[in-house]
Amino acid sequence: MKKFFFFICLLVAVSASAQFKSATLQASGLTCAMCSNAINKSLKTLSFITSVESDIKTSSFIINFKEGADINFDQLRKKVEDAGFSVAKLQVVANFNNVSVQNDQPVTVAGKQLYFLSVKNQQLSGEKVITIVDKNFLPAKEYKKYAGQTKAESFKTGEANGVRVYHVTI
Amino acid sequence: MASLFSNDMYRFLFVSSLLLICSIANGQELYIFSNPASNIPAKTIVAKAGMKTMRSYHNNEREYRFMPELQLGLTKNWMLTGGVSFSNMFFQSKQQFESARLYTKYRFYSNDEVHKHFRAAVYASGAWSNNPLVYQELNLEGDNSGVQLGVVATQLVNKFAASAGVAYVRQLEKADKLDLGIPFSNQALQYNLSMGYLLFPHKYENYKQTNLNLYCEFLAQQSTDIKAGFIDIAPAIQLIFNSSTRFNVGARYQLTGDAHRMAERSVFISLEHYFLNALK
Repeated sequence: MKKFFFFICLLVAVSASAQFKSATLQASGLTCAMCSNAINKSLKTLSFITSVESDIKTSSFIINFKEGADINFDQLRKKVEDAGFSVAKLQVVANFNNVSVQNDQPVTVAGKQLYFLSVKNQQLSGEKVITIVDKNFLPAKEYKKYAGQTKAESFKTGEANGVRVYHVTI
Repeated sequence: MASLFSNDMYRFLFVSSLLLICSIANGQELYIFSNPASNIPAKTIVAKAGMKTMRSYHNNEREYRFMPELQLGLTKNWMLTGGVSFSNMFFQSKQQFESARLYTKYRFYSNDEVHKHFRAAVYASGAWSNNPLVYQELNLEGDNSGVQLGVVATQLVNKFAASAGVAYVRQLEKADKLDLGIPFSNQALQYNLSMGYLLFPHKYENYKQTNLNLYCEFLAQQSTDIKAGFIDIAPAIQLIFNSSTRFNVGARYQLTGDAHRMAERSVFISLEHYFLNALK
């Protein structure tokens, strides 16, 4: 019986694995190349990224993550804000390995608490794009739209039991 | 010559400023004669060298002021600027140190959307100058010892940027006054309306492209203790190299006014470089 539980635990641990590969970040509040350059240089100081490619016209940045590194989405946001601007959209490319997600429920993925909103209950496999819908990761109007879809306290505080919870959608 | 200048030149400036107001293009807010509500990025140092030149009315000689300045981005909302000035203005025969200035600005409101923002900031400035109080025009760029308190709002909509601000300035020189029989002004309100326009590049591809920006600012001052004031128009062009070095050339022309000033026209040239992530 113990062995069976161990096996189940192992299965759960393995099945909930995922890897964050890259992110596409759109910044808001700017039109000039000088402003874009400030964000670009600011993002490049983060230790968990390998490269940043920027599209000045759309104020977008493709950020590639180091394999196996601890990815901190709040740090990405902070770097954009330090440069004097805001995050309009943050989409993360993650490689899922049979992760079961349910609407309005949290799941631990790659050491991060992800709380899925506005999704169908499903099994995630392979490369998927998730969008972070936490406060200051999207325009205030859109944040309010998602706030109407959940009663989770963590959506307001960003935390559950002292652990950072990222609220995401697909 | 003077009347030719005032008619044709002003008509040209008036039309070009109207064009600026009406144009829907990439707006820029890195103004030459005023500060926008936005700050320099956090952890950034900006080194700036400025030069102002004018023909002084009292002896018709060209005078120069040099203004080295350092700006620090302390946090995303708060910046600090320190500068000194050297000039041969105020009846000096050669260049000499004349003033030191501290300036700080805090951005207290931001509403960002993609290619759009509305921001507001408050700023305060204090200056010490060894020049005597002579003119009714007050400024803390070298002329006067004094303090200044201001608020500025910048709106960028559909790639067009405009900025409006008002400031209170008070001069603090008590003893060293040159009495020309004209009443001294101790305090004034200053106003600005500033607009920017990106001329080049039409299409952004990389950070190496040189940007060419056109600016038009209206700068006004009205004394609150005596009846003296002016309104200037200040067209300027700006080149930005490598998305980190700015070269600015601008001129100020008095449109209307009755204040006693050193000159009604001046030229300002500056070069500034951004050291991003320079502070820990």
